[in-house]
Parts: sequence; C-alpha cells; structure tokens
Amino acid sequence: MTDNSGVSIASSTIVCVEAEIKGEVTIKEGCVVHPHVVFDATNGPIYVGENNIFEEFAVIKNNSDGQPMIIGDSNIFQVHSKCSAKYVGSRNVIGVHAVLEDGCSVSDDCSVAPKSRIYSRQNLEPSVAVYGTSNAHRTTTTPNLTPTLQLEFLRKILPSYHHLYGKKKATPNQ
Amino acid sequence: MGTLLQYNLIKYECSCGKWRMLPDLFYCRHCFKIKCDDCSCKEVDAIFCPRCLEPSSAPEARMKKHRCMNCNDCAKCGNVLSARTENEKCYLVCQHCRWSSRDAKQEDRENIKSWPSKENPLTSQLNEVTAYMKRLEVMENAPKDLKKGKSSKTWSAIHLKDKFNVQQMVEKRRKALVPDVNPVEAHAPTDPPTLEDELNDRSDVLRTLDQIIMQPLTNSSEPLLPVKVSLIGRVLVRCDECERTLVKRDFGVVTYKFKISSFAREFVPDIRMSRPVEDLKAGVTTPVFLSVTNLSSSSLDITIIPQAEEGFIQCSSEPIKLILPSSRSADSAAPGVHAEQSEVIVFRQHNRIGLRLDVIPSEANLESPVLDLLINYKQDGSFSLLATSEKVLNPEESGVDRILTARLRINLR
Repeated sequence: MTDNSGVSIASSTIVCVEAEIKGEVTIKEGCVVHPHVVFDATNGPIYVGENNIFEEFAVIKNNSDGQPMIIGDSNIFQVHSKCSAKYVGSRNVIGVHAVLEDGCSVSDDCSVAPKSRIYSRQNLEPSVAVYGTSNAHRTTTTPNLTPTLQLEFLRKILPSYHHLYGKKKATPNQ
Repeated sequence: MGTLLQYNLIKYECSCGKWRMLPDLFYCRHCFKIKCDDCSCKEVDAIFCPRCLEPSSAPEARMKKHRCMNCNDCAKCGNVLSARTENEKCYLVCQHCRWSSRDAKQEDRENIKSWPSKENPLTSQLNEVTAYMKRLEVMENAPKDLKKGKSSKTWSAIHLKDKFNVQQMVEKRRKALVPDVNPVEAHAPTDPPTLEDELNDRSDVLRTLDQIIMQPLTNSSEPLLPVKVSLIGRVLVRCDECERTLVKRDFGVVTYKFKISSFAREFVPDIRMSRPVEDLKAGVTTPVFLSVTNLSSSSLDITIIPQAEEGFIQCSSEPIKLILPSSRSADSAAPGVHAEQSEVIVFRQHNRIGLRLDVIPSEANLESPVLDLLINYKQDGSFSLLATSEKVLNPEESGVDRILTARLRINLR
C-alpha cells in the first residue's frame, strides 16, 4: 500500500484496508473486496467491472508483460482462489482454491468448482462448468444467479466491522 | 489421527491372532481379552440419514428402500444437490458441476421433498410371485406343523369323529378355506437388447461407471434422476464369547458420546515410538525410544519382555519392570523402578514413561525390521466391575488381580 498512485476505486465500492493493492488497478461501482485480497498489477494493469465479490485471500495477479487483465461484472471469486487470467467475463463463480492460470480466458456464466484448475491458453466457452479432480467440463443450462442479496448484505455489514481502504487514514496497518 | 501419532507402526495381537493397531481394538473386561473387528459381533443400533441426521426405524427404512426422502445427490458428480427457488417453485442444483433437476427433465416442484426415482417396472409381478411362493410354503409346512403338534393346542373340528354327521359340513368349509394356488404364469422370454439398440437410443454422452452404479435401474436412453442419499447404520459392538456390550453410543443420532465404551486403549498399556529410529545397520547397536502410557483408571504393574524369536530383531535390553500410575491419580511420582534399570528410563511424566531399548539388527532382518515385545501387566482393582454373584461364588479369584498379557510388534521403519 506504499504506492497507490495508479489505484482508482469507485465510490460505492467497498474495499477493506487489509486488502493489498499494488500497481494500476481500476475497480468500478458496487464491488466488495474482503480483507487479505491481493491485487497485484505490477506487471500490467487490472480493470475490474461492477458488482464483483472478492472473498478473503483471493489473489488477482496480472503476470503478463503490460497486457491488461479485464474482469467483467457480477463475478464471485471465492476464498483462496487465484486468478491470473487475461479475461474473465460476467456472472462467473470461481470456487474455493480454484486456479485460473496465466493467460487463460473465461467467458460468461461459467462455474469453476472448488480446487479445479483452468490451464493457461485454455478458453472457456459461455455456460461451462469445470469440476472434479480431472477438471471435467460440461455445458450447463442452469444459469448462475447474480449475487444481489449477498452484495447488499456485505455492503451493509463490512463497513461496521472493518476500516475501509482510502477512507480512514489512521489504520493500524499503515 | 492414527498416522499422526504413528499408531500404524505398532501392531497389537488380538485374541483371535490378528495384528491390529491399538485404536482399532476393543477390550472385553469380563473375558479379559482383546477383541478386534473380526472377532466381535456387531448389530445395527440406529439407522439415519448422514445428511439431515433424521433417524428412522428398521421397518421404516425398509419401506423407504434405505434412502432418505429429503436429501439428494448429484447424478453426475455425486455432490450435494441444493434447492433453488424461482417463481415460488424450486428445483435442485449441484453447486459443483451445475447439473440440475431440469437437466433430468423434471418439472419444478413446490416443495423439496420426494423427488421421483426410478422404480423397478416389474415390481408388481415380483410381488405376485413372492406371494405365491409364500402360499406354497404355508401349504407345504402345514402337515409338518400338525405332526409336531403345534396346531393340536387349538381345537379343530377336523379331529372329531363323525358322531353327529357334521363331518361333511366341516369338509366343505375346510375346502372353502384352503388358499388358492393358481400358479403364476411364467412370462415369455424377452430378447436381450443388442449393442446396436443400446447405442442407437442413447440420449446423452457415455456415462461413467460411478453414475451407472448410483442408479442401476435407469436405462441409458433415460435421463439420470437426482440420487436419493442412502441411509447409514450405527453399530453396537458385542464380545463374541460372553455377548456383553463393548461399545454402545448414547441415545440419539446427534450425540457423539458413549454409553458404554471399552476400547483397548483404556485397558492395555499404550506403547508408541517417542522418536524416529535412526538408520539401522547390521551388527550395530541402535537405541529405540518408546513411550508407555497408562490410560486406564488404575495404576499398572508392567513388565516389558523383549522377545527373541527367529525373524525378529534382537534386543539386548533386559526385561523392564515398572509401575505406572493412572491418569486420574494425584501423585505424579511412581515408585518401583530398580536403580540398575534407571538408564533405560529416559523421562517420566505423570502417567507416561519414556524407555530406551537397544536393538542389534542382523543382516537378515534389515529388510523388515520388526521388534517383538511381550507385556505382562497387572491392574489393581480395575476389574471390580465383575458381577457380585461371581464374587460370592469365587471369592479367592475375585480378590486377586490377574496377570494379563499383550503382545505387540513394532515396525522400526
């Protein structure tokens, strides 16, 4: 949190102060970033759309050389998930401990199950579920729900128990 | 837990001659014997759903075909199906692979209970045949029962002499009461489906073996249905000799407590490796560090005798004699160790003692170095649980503490 010149966070987005943001990161309206989320944009910028949820210990890291990482709207990155994909669409669910490797891309309405992995250079078509120890793929008809209720709840509850990024200057970590 | 505490390296001998880890063993305190899974009787104590923990009685479970009515598993990947509501109707979705009850061509329902499952299409025919067989059984056994005199207790008009000319009427009535024995018609043989037929009307991609096993009645042409969670049973363990209960859980499915528990750990001295063994070399004396713990409710008088049989590692240490206090007793210092043996004792904690044994491996047993130990131990007063009648019958036996033995093999790898 030493260099936050390139960080631009929309006003309605809630980012806890324990989150670590490095480099050029743009987060649009309505997102929720839990404590201990890492945004590492030292190798290239990260653009995040609206109404995304990043849960604890999620790591969003741009490993490409200067190429931007684009994340769409209404995605959920669950606890301990790792994402270094070049593109993530909208309404995706990235499960607990799931890994999106360097340079892969995920389109819309996909679901990556806990502990599964999307390999680099892999491109997920819309509405694909990845699951199991062998990372099986199947096309689904069931849509992911947009987490409206969850977002509303988090927006209400997180500020009452956490210091927010950029709002309070006197924080224990700084 | 067993691997964490390295219990898997130490095997105790069961009374039936098998070698098992100590946490897997039971102890019958009436027969004074160690019992394992194979030499104890087990009976199902309670049947319940592992998911929603709803208990059901045995006939109830049989009615439900040992499946829970409320909980469903994914037909594709076997994970939990959760309900999702849309327009006041709900359907089931797997959060893992996004398989849903809509994929099974099931309409949305108003409640989450009683989703359909595939039934055997020949159920009624099967019931007919079994009913017919039962009728035949009754008729075949009837003369035998008569001979045995079972039915002679009940008065019957058949046994009367035809004194009053009612026999004819009785015969007529008896004939009317004889059950029908219309044999069930054997159904015509049907041609088994060929491979081509099966491949032609395949609705989706090939199913995995797990998916087929989960619902064996569903044909390949039909879509998979949500799988109902199978019920599980909780067992009660008995000694196979005296039939006394060794393990019994508390009433209720949710509790984890025991009403009766007699695990071997609570009666037999618990021996473990306290330090990993160094590299064994043939002919070189190597120390082996063991810890002995007394988890029983009374103090133990233990003698550890290393065995020197063919095929096992030679141990140069003398037999060790010691007294271990129980974990419940207040005094920590325990008497009874001879001075010349004190170099074998590494440490002494409350109810635990650390020992050092010296082993000399030979060339032959370097492949599988196993140390064989015999323990003689005596517990004072812990077997006062014997029935009072036995105390009265054999007063001299009940007063004396028995010397018990346990054998164990330690894998030094």
